[in-house]
Amino acid sequence: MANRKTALPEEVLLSVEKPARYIGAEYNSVMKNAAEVKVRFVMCFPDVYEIGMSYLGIQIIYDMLNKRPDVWCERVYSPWPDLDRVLREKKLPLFSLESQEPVKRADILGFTLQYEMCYTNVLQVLDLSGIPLRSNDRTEADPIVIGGGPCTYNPEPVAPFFDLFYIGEAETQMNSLVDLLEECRAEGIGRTGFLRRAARIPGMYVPAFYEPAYNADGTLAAFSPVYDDIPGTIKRQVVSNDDISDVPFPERPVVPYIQVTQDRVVLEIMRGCIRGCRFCQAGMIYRPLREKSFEVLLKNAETMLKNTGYDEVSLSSLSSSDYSGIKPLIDGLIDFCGSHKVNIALPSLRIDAFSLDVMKKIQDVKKSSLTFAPEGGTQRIRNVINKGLTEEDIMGGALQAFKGGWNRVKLYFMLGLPTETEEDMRGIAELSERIAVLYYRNMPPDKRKGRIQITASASFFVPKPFTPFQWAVMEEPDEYLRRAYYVKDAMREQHNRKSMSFSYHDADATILEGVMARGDRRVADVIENAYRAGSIFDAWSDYLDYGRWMKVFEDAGVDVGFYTTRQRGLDELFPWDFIDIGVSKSFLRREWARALAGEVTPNCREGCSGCGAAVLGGDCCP
Amino acid sequence: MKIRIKYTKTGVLKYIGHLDMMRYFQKLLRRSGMDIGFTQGYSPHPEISIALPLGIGVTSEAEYMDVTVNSCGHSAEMIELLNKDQVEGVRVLSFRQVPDGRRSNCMAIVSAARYQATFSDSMKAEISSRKLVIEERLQDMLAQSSIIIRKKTKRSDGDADIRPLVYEAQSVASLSSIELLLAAGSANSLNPDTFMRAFAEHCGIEPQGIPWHIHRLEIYAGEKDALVPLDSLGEDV
Ligand code: SF4
Ligand code: SF4
Repeated sequence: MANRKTALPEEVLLSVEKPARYIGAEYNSVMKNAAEVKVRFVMCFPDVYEIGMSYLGIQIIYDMLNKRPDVWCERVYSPWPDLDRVLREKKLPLFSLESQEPVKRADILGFTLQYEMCYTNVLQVLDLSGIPLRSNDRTEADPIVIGGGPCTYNPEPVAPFFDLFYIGEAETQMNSLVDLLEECRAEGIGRTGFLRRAARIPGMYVPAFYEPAYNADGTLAAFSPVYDDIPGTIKRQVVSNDDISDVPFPERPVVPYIQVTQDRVVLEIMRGCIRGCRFCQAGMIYRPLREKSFEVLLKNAETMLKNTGYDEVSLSSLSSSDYSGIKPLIDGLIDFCGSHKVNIALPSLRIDAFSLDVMKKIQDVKKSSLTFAPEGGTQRIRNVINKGLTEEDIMGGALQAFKGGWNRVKLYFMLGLPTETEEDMRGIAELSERIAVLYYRNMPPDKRKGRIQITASASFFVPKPFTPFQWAVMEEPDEYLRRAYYVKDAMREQHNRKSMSFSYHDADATILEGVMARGDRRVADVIENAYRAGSIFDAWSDYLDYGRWMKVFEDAGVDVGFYTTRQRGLDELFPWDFIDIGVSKSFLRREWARALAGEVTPNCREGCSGCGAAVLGGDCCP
Repeated sequence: MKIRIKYTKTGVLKYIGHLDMMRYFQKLLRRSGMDIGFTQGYSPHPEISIALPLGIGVTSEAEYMDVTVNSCGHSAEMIELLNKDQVEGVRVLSFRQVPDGRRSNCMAIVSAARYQATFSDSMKAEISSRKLVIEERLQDMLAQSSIIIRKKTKRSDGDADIRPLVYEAQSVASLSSIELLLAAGSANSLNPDTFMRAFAEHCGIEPQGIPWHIHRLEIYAGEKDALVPLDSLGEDV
């Protein structure tokens, strides 16, 4: 392939920040002859290249689809605002990275929806590609637009923009979907016919074939399919624990030229989490726990390192310490990586004797910090959210770490949790203080490596579908900041205030995220209007224009409070209830009641709580 | 031992910056399975240095990089090994052993570089509409004892004389290109684009868009009147 062409002319590429985002041609990117494939698939992560390239899911789908000789899977990411402007001015179509040809030429355009704040970027990509924003305006000349990822567990706010949502893991039905498209092509069946048949593949949700009906108070009265031959409930499709070790992994991940967020080999060790923290959507929608065998993982890691030349490998899971093969896996990795001069990154390891020992071996203690995620400032609130981490865990881990030479501690909290009181907020400052005291009491001045640095940070809690907190009421916009200031003031009152700092996330995004997370189809108009008014890159606080969003809500007559601060009934039909994730609504309801009573529920290894996900075949399910 | 690798950087690779090329080569060297030397510490990486950074937008047929290896095969084998696994636009051209030590490092010894600047179509049209003969304009530009340019950097704002940094400049056959030999390296360095802007000004032309494309032809070490290409300082292994 000599003389690769770029879709963008040189003067454009040289005028934008980081032209490498748009040229493709990365090592391991896959080139095919378009004339020799039957289906052209373009995968999109609707955010900037450096974020999108860091996401393992696309690498999995890319690898899986490109193994098929009849399919060419390419990638596209959101053009950064500088290029966005140029594309609009010069009326240049958005293109996929590999072929550098217009996205509109694809047969399927797949979006992964990882966070709600990317929704306007989905519209940006469709618009710049010349694809009508709404499914019902598309013709045979447009690709089939599909969505996947965690946000599809409530797809309703973006339902009109998608032809189909894929509910579940790509390994299960993606190939059948592509096969079906080929079949339909061969039989001369167009998009509606294809969608009609696709809607019968398990896990596929075609929003156009379902109709919501509303009660007078605005809540959902019914949600039903318009045809008899498509299911009323969409069952999430997952790989079972028995098969998880055998699912294909990206043997040759695409290696970007420019530094991206996750600039290393990512080794997915398991799916799902045993913990059941009640605020956590990932903990529910990825149930049950499925573990890959460590022997397989060690082989996979070696293959990926050899095929990329990366100098670091990172474990990926929701809670790596719970992986039952963690010891042999890490020992094996240290062996291989030590002799090949490869670094090991271990995010999401609980701080204990084992992890401290490992961290000492693989990283520079002076440069690293300890991370705890108590999420709540008092034991009371931690019981409410079912966060198993106790004060003893934190103090015990921290003390061992101090003795091992660490003196930087990061603490993650959430504000705005259900039942939260000022005592819980103060608790954030007081816990930080107790950690500082622990350090100064136990570390004699001659053994100290300077002052302890405690960095506490808080994000604002947003209730998510399919969690026990899906019934929770959100706060008014100003209340989030008030709570953050309250904690800040409380930090200032502590004796060791000079050793601690406190930061908090953007409060504006919280309300919007709240609306989109638990929104219904009526929110789609607002999203489209916000996009038309100029909103893109809402996940970037520099670009988020909260005022514009609020005006758009007002103009559309959509009440933000209906989605955020309204008390939802225990029996209310939710817009996402037509999806069956495995975990039952009655379990979630039970968990919500236990939360309000401050009762802790054991994790899946301590004992099964009968959440319903056992039917999907988990590692610790009965 | 220290190996000097000469390679090209052409095509779309012109959009890849200097640091990203370093990262590219670090990965390439790891993939190749070569017995390379690593830096010490918690995040060891292959010890490499690139002779002279190449700006984004510029192509080259003579880039140089020094890398430490513990052992290696014959030059021809190593060239083949590295090229087997390459992205389009990078080709390894030579693989030669050079003396060890900091003072012989490619970065330290660079003294000059040769470039070809090719005018864009719109510049060519501009030049011919003004009936300018490039060679003449070049010669009377170089005949001046000094060529003063306005230098605006983050730190200072002042005039600089670039005449001593221009070793050669002549138009080449097609009349749409200029070949330049300019001082380069840490002591004195002239960016070819800076020279071209000064030349355009000398011709009374205001450059628009991308007025020329710059391609690096060679990098040299040694005194001005005894320049040698960087790879001539090494031996095949
Ligand atoms: S440990 Fe808790 S917060 Fe973390 S993934 Fe599991 S359920 Fe979610
Ligand atoms: S069925 Fe039991 S063990 Fe399985 S995920 Fe649910 S609670 Fe955990």
